[in-house]
Amino acid sequence: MGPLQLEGFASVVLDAADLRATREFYSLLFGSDRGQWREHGRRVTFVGGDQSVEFVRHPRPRTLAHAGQHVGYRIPRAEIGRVADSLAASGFEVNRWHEDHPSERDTTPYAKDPSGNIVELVPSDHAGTLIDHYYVPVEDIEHAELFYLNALRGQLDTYFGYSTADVSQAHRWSEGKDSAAPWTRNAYVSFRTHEPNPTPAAQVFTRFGEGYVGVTLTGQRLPEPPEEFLKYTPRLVFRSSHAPHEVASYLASVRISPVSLRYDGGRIRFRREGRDIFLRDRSGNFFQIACAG
Amino acid sequence: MANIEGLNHTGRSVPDVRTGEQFYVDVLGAHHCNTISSATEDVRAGRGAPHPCNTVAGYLFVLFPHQDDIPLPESPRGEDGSRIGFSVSRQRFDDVVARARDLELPFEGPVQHPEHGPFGESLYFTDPGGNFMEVCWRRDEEVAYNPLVSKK
Repeated sequence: MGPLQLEGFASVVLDAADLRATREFYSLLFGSDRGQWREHGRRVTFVGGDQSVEFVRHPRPRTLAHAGQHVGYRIPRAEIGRVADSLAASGFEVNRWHEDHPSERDTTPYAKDPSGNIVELVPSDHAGTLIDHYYVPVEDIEHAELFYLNALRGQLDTYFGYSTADVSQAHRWSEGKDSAAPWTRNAYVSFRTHEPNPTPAAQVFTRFGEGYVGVTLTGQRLPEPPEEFLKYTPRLVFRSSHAPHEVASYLASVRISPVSLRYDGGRIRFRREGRDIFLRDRSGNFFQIACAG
Repeated sequence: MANIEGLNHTGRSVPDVRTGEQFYVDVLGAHHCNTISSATEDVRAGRGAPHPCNTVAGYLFVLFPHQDDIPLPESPRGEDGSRIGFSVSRQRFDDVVARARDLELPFEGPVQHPEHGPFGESLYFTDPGGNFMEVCWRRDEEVAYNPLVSKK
């Protein structure tokens, strides 16, 4: 097998406290002509084209909204205002922020679903694809780059938070002059000056097919399941044309470590279930690779 | 009086620390050590934007993003001669010059130094942040130069 190729996003799997309320919320987003709903026990799934959004009933949904975890859904550009208004009219708080990927420099609507999952409405001219991007917080961005770029072989779209221009934006945000999404900036008190130090969140954007994964270095604590849990939610499902044994063999051979040490460490833990591979990054973000038959 | 025991590191500012680091890797063969403020605990301590640490032949330096837009100098050789100088063997100096040309790096030199002095030739250039650098070969390269005196 050559280098791992993940062709894009197949689906996202999210927790939902109330499946009925969740379906009502997302019906406002997706409308009635972009796909159809399927119910199966404690799961409900919206299938649109070759992508789906699956909700699993959970009494205490794990959302990581406090650290900015969210999914960007493509909405027809002409419909963005109407969808945002309908969410607000239904009692959901709608904020308008911008983020730092070049496609997100203009403000766009954000809301939380009934379970607290953050959704971003991404204006799109080709809204046939449901999922525009998947955004996750991490506690170590050096290791995250190795995971998403070196291990998962994503393509680096761009990065943010490493330049003078980005630092200047953080200062403007601290002065109330920039409507950046709250997880993209911070102003923790410097241990040296004892003064707030406005700082852009370091972010890396990695492309997989039509979609991208945004990774942000968070200042928030990230509660995560025990290390042996490899199949969990929320998670992003990649699509791969490789056979599962090829992907498993590849992952077993990958070594990633941000430090050059002479030890056989840096392994990626994963588990195979039939045609699916389940894995997680070091910060407890979960992923699934749906392999070809 | 402070009895300084050695040089520990220097800090340099550049407009973009990732492209700045790549410059040092490509031009000087720097090795990445780690990145300060690349983890949550650093963020919570208010340590600012990520700043990578690299070494060049045992010399440790840290790159920071400029806090303001700073105009870049017009001359590769600097305004008043202030610079950091690196040395390579006479044998490798020509390779360094060739590499600079391959990378299309603006530079001044090779400058021939007087034969009675310690330096043979030098190349002068700036990093992406406008920090001035020199790479030279020394006529006395066989001589142990400024050995580190350990504290007793």
